[in-house]
Amino acid sequence: MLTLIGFEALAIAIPFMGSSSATSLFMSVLEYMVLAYSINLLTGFTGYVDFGHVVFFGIGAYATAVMVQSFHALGVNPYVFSIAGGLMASLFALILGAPILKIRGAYFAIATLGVSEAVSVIISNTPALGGSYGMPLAAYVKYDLTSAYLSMWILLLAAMAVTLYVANSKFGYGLRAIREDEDAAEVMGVNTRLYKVAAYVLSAFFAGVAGGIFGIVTAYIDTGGYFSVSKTVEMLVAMMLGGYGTLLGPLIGGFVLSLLEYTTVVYIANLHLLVFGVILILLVLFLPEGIVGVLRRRTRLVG
Amino acid sequence: MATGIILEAKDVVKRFGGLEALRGVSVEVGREEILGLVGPNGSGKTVFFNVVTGVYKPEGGRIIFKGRDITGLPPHAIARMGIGRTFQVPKPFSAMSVRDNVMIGALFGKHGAKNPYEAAKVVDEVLELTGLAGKADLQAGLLNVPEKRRLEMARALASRPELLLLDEVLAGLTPTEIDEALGMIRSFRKELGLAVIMVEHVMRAVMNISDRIVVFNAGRKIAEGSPSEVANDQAVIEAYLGAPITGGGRE
Ligand SMILES: Nc1ncnc2c1ncn2[C@@H]1O[C@H](COP(=O)(O)OP(=O)(O)O)[C@@H](O)[C@H]1O
Ligand SMILES: [Mg+2]
Repeated sequence: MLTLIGFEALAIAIPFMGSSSATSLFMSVLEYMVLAYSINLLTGFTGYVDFGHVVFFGIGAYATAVMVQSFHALGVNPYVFSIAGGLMASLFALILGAPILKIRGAYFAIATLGVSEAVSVIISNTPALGGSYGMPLAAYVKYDLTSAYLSMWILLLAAMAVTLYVANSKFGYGLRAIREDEDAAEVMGVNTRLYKVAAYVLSAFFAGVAGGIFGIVTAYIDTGGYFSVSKTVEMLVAMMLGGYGTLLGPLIGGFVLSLLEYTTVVYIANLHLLVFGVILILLVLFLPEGIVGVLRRRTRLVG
Repeated sequence: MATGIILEAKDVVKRFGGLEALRGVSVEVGREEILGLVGPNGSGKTVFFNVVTGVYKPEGGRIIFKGRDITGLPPHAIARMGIGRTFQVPKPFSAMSVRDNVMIGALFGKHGAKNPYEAAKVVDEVLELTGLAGKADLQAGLLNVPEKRRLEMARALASRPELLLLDEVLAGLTPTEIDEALGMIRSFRKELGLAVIMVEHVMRAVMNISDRIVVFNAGRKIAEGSPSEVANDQAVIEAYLGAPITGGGRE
């Protein structure tokens, strides 16, 4: 716990110390954490395994890019537009939610994967969105890592605050009841359809804003990078690693996983996805409650 | 309510493909009444509960609760109006604590507490009433079967229902446990003023606790009356293949 706080103090200070490779590492740590919180709000609380969660990251990035393109002349800080990216992702979740959340179990996972791939194909065939070439943003935004970094921090704190609220609210109890037994929850008075869609919309928002921020910071987006299945897998692993449905799980999982990825990318190049796959399977088999679950059993202190 | 009737099911029909599980049954329950619902396996008792609670939409007939037509409403809406139930096969929220299970009842359902703090009082009360207070922090999945059935009742009670549907809550209990459970159910009515429909195979128990009994056979209501009237009804005796139904035991 203390090391984590120490790390965070260090992390906040990093961009002001001017080491850009360390900054980009910490950007990716923050990204993992935020995306883990995002998917946790749906999958962690309700048990609906969203294998297409990256679609919200992608939609958020594209919506933000369009806003930046259209309104850069206003002169406001472009990172503000990432909020529009989040709202667009939420709107998409709202429209998609009612039909897709009727599907349960593995079929839901497959359906969400299909939707995410379909949206990716549609965008890469839409000339207005750059088609398969993508959208360069360098002409509209200047390199501003400090703003990117602060935006991610605000987003992370917001995601934690929302998770804290959900975990202790009537809403959170309803979502956990759905995870345990949806039919029993409905018969006991939980409006399961409404609750599931609400969780979906909420979780989409955070992934959408994160996509927007990353779109601006990389100043170039394409469907390959912003709708990749491997990103969804990373979100799921980070969430499972920390402990699903908990307050601190995504923080710990996101942290551990991003460092793991950093080292595996450096030392074994593209093997990191294989490593993640293996970790995911091991987690499901041996550590379904994640790191927080183990700590909680040991100490009854965390999350 | 002008009448003393809390639930009125009229000519309810429920089909599954070619199978007619309910063939036009009508059942009335009075306020604070304990109604026993008996019948051979597969006679439609659980399906009847599922229709009343909105899990299944009936092909025909109406369900009137407190004077309002609730036919076709979603289960959560019906629960919020004041109908609580247990499941024949217990469905605890296994990974949650016993306390949190009961909390779900108090947060949703008729009681509808706004947050866990507001719900806490009712939860403690119900845990006490159902004898689960000592197990409150245990994971619900770790309870034994009789405890799981009691948890089913506790969750339903925490929602503060006006009508409670109990589906074979005595199954698998020892005679002593049955007597305990019957005492508990009587106290629900007395202290909480609720009406109960009790589906039960343990004849001694139903005869003992019910004000009135309804008998189903193959999706129809074949008899209705006081326990002694029903016990001597020719159609009932035939439905049970001549087995002496006052004798206790299953079926
Ligand atoms: N979901 C379902 N689909 C098809 N048939 C069902 C379903 N639920 C119940 N049935 C059938 O309806 C009949 C009545 O079942 P049920 O109400 O469970 O009997 P019981 O009186 O023992 O509770 C049985 O023949 C059962 O097989
Ligand atoms: Mg039954």
